[in-house]
Amino acid sequence: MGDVMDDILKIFFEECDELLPELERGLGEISEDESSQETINAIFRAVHSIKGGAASFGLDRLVRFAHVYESALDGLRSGQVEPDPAIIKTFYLAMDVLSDLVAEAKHTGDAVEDSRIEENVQKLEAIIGREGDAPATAEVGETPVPEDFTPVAVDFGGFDFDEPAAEPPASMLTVKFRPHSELYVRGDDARNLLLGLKELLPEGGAEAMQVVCETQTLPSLVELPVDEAHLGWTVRLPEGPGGTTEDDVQAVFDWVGDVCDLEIVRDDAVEPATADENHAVEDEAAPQEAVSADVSDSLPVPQDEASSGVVEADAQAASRPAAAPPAKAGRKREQNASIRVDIGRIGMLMDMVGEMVIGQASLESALTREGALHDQELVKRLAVIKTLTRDIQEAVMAIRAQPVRHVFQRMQRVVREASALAGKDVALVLEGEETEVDRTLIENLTDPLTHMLRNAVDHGIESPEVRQAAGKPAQGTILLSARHRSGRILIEIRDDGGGINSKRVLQTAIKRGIVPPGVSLGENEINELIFAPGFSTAETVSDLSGRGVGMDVVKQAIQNLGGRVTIKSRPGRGTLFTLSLPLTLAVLDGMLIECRGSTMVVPVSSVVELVTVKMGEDVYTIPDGSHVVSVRGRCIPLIYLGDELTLPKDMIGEEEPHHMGRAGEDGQMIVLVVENEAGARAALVVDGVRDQAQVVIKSIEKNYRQIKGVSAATILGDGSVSLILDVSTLIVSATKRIDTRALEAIAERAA
Amino acid sequence: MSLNENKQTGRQMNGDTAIPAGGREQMIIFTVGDQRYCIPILSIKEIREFEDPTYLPHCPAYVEGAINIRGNIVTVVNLANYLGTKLEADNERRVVIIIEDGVSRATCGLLVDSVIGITEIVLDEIQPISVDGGAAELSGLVSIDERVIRILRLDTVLARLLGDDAISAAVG
Repeated sequence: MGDVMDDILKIFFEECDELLPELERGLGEISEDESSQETINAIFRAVHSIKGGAASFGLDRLVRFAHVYESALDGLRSGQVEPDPAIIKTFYLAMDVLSDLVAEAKHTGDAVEDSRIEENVQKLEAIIGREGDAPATAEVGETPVPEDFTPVAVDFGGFDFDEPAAEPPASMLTVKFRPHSELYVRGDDARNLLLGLKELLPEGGAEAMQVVCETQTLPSLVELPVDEAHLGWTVRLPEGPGGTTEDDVQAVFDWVGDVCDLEIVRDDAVEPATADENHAVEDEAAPQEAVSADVSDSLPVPQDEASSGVVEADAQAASRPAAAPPAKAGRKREQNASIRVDIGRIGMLMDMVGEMVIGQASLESALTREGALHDQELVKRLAVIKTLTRDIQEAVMAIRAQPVRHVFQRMQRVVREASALAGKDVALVLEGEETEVDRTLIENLTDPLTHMLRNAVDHGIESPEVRQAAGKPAQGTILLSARHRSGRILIEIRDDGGGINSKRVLQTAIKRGIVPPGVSLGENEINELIFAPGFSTAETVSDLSGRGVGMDVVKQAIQNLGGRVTIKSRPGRGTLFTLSLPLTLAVLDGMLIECRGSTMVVPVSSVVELVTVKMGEDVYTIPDGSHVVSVRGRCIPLIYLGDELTLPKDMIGEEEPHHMGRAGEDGQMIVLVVENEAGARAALVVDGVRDQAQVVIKSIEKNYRQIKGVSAATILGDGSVSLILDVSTLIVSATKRIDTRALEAIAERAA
Repeated sequence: MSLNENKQTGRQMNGDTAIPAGGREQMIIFTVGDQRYCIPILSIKEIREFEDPTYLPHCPAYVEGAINIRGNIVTVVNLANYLGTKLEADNERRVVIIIEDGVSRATCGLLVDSVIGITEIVLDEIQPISVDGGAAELSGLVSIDERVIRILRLDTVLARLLGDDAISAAVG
């Protein structure tokens, strides 16, 4: 039982993770004046769903806050509160509190301080207060309700705001409902609904409720099937202050909307008949069968109009997932159908597809050996299988792809909080949120992006006074954009701040001992210094950034993902950080090289060039016994890959060279010039280059320890295991130093 | 050649020293050099033909290389080198026994000279051997038909593979 609850709780939190970004997106649209009624409804539904879910798990703090939030949003929904920037800001802050409360309930975040909740509640209540000028309970029937919107219960009871001055005249609500058999199958009972309706009435007012059970459709006892529902109820209860609203009634039927016919009619002499008509049409859950003979006189709706509405209502009821509150129905209809799948299963699928590709390749090579491929029919069939396999592989990869929106939207909050702390006014503009990348990458992007955006707010954007003095708008803008380019994803962070003060950066670097004094560096090289470990130009360590762990951590994280960071800066105009990342962490573009009979993979991203050098002329021995090779006047340390990796020597030259290049003539050798992220280069001596291919990255550490110079392994088309070289560690071990960049730059300048 | 069907209600997933009294356990017997060894049958995932593995750089001498088993990369241990005996030269019958650790789910392959068969061992008949004698690789001895069979400790094999460098340096 506990497990079941845990699972449901997990689903609730997953839902929260989806709803909170939706809320954020909605608020963003409203603040950009792009809001429609549907947007407002969407954010309202998001908060409402969180509240509803939280209530069923007894997450009281969350419920209480969501409730106030919802009430405040209701003012927006009803048009009684105009969304001005101050209110939007309040909503944003409240959203942060809400998501922190979710994190608290999830035990992934620190407990939210009561004072913070209280402060936000007060702000929200101030908004509710404004709306309190208009009678809240009179809202029903007066507010234009959008056509496809099902009202959501809003309980104002527990909150202290002005009671409506003008009370609508007392009227009666007629609630007719007829449960389907499925309602009973679910273990629910009509009794619960009746009790729920009774609870809506004020204490002691229960006698005002009239309940009539409709037994007309009940067959005689002899013919009665035991598991079918035949009863319907008609309940009349008073509406109005202290009584119930139509919304309240809807709320009672929230969880049974799809298995119960429901019709709510206001029996109101004072209101004009047109209002009644509107209600009947809006009542999507009012199917025709509920219009039984004895009550049809109280329903002033032409029969044909009602029946046209029924078709739509039924279709909607069918598309509505079980147990989803009706409030969600509108949204569910718009969304593409989706299911949740455990990521482990997709990983398994990936593995199996990989195996299928290998299996197909080995089938092909076996057929080729048998000489069977002269058979045209066979070749055709094989081609079909090949195409299918490739399509399946792509489809599986696509399953793992997700839009970067999730990460990007989280950044809104980062910027909001950072700018509040730094006392600056910064707007974050997002572009290309729909760009899709592999899920594993998305997960790993959050931390580096957070760091970079905090830095942009803290160091990049100037204070409002300085900005205005420079003739720029007081509000700084950071543009965060994503797009695909040549099989990679480019993420740009562009701010319109002061740019990098290269003089100060250099001074700091010298002060921190990162570069020796008196060094002369180019603009770009100075900019690169901000990625050096232990570098920070901030004079005071602020809460935001400035601990000197920021940018080098960012760079490390991006490199670990197989990406690169570049900076462009224009003084006074702003800074542009560009992250170039692979689309997935599961696949890598590799160059297949041969060395002493082993095939190995070098990531293409780190290959600079492939050159043939003459052993006698280009290779020099330096005093410590190692070798360097001169390629176009640049001396590059030489790594004899076979020796470096202790490959056994006896396997050279066994097979025919079927690759592009091989050290054919004596005195020549092929070197692959590789570069690490810092720009340090080394030349790998290889026997040949065979191919270039996309390889699936497999861990070797699962069943073995880490190998120096090897980052992972892969399985080639013939089913054999091949190692992926870790160029960075190879270069480090060859050059015996880690920070090769600055020294090389010095050497270059000296030359 | 999967032996998964030969499941039995044995409790002994690992060939470690904690052997309960009174029980019987099915073991698979194989040869390495001129010695006979056995391991519990339940720790075996499959037995495969030997195929040329990919050499792993900087590996200790007893690591033969890595092979691909349905998309997983599995290290093959040359048991002869590991146990310090001599390998039979040019043996056609040599196979790789793929074992899986019940706890850590780590997998590795053992290159052996030949598999002889399955036998049921009465656990009481196992004679423990002292670790002081330098036999951390073995958990005990048992004699069947006048021949002494050594029981291999699989957890030691896996622990060394997964990177206890101090031990592997001493052995390799």
